[in-house]
Amino acid sequence: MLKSPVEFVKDIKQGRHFVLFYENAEYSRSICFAFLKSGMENQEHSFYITAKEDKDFFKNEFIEKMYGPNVIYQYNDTSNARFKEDLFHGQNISDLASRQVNRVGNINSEIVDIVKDIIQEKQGDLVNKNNNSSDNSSSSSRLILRCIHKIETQNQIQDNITWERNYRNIKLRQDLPNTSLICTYPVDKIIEVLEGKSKAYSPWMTDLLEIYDGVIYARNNWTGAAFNFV
Amino acid sequence: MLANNSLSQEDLHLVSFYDNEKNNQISVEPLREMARYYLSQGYGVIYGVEEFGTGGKNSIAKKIIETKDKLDILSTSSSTSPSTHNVNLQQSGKPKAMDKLMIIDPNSMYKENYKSSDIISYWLSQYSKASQDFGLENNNVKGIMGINIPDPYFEKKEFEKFLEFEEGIDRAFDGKIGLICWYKKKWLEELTLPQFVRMMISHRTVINNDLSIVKWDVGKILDIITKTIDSAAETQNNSSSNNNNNNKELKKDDKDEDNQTYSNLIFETIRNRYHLDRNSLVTNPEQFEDTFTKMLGKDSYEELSNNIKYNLVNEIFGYSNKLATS
Repeated sequence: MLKSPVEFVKDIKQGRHFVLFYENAEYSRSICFAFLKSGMENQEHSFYITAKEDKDFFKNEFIEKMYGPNVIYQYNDTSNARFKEDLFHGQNISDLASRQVNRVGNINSEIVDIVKDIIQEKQGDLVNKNNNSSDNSSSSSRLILRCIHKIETQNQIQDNITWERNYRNIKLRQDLPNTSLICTYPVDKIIEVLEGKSKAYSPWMTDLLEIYDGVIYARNNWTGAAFNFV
Repeated sequence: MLANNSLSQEDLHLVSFYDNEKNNQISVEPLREMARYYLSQGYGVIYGVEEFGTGGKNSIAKKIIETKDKLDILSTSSSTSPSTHNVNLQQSGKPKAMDKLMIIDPNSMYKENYKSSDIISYWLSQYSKASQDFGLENNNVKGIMGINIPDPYFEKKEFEKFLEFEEGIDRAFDGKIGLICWYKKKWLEELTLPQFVRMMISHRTVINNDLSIVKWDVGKILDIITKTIDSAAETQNNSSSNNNNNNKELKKDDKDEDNQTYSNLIFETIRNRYHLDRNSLVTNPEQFEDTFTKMLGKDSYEELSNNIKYNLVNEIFGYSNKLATS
């Protein structure tokens, strides 16, 4: 009856932006895997952009968890397996995150440009590779933005709100209208923050809830919830 | 137990329920019993439950006044016990209570073009007439209690019209007049969840067939909604963990600690996003429905709302503590 977050993300509609608050990083990754895998099964491009971890770690874990230790072995049709792998693209932007800490340049604008370039370039490559195909399903894509901002100080939280309001919610939506997105944030105690008990994080979470199309919660004990707002 | 001196504000608008499935045929005896009880306590009664048959309203009145045990009727006891709802008799043998009982045909409150305000006007005119006939101003009766059924409207699927009447008539009660509405279980099942909740909120008190009363407030309804949501979420989580190759089953301690996680998450999300607290969602159940449908999707909401209704009905009839989950 009530969909678990893992089930819920499979059906996220094209162009919708979701925020994922997690207490449990492993659970959060499982939800992100399901989101990307479901997109790839529909021939959508999957992008994983992170400032937190090595993109290859995620890719290896993703491939192994979703498709088994040997992708090609899992599929009789090798070209299909290759194609799925080609749909997955990772990018590490930890250098930008470092610059955010030192407040150098307008990293918010740069993040938008980087995300846009990656997505458009990879989509272009794929369209070229499959130029015999007449369908245009390749124009839609799925994107995970994992921990692209630090939110440890009041200034960082304020920077993050600026990014969320002016760049992610406006510019990225305009530039990539067919991309559905999950942006992830670690939160120690989700319910306490939701209940307004955190002076620093409660107003921030309320702000984010007001500008996203939906929310996903991944709690410590592998319980969670996912809700649409539109 | 109901107060026997005067109607308290909470006892003015009551609802009673009848399980038409458990009892193979409809019996109005519980309502006759209620009429007898109020008469025995010195109230006037407007009884609008039974259609006038060949015997007319006198026949119905007799069934109310005459109990199975004639000895009880002949007694002049003023016992307040509901099981000895004695009715005083005059020497002539005509029960005094007959003068304090007005029988109306339930179908007389139905007109095809009636709005809810017309049903209210109809009942107010009945109260007015009964006040004069019973001598309410001269304190010949302590008050007037109406007994009513929604069937004339519900049989024609005009649920909304009658529920608006229920919500509107409340404002007319001034401490001297009151109303009991009698809902069959099948009607409860036909109401949408918002209609069901509105019906429960418009009546603050449930009067059971044994005349015991149970208070229903927003908190009680919210408690059932919350438990149903969390019960459904627990099923979801168990199902997910069973399907998870990594077998991320919850530890029992975690479950106990977080048995209200899902309801907290959804209600707190609604409070943050839509600035609506959980009590206001219950008092405005249409908004509850809109918000939950948007957040969970139509199919999930429909299933959840059916489960909430199922659990409300079970609580009303006291059938089971087991919550519907799926």
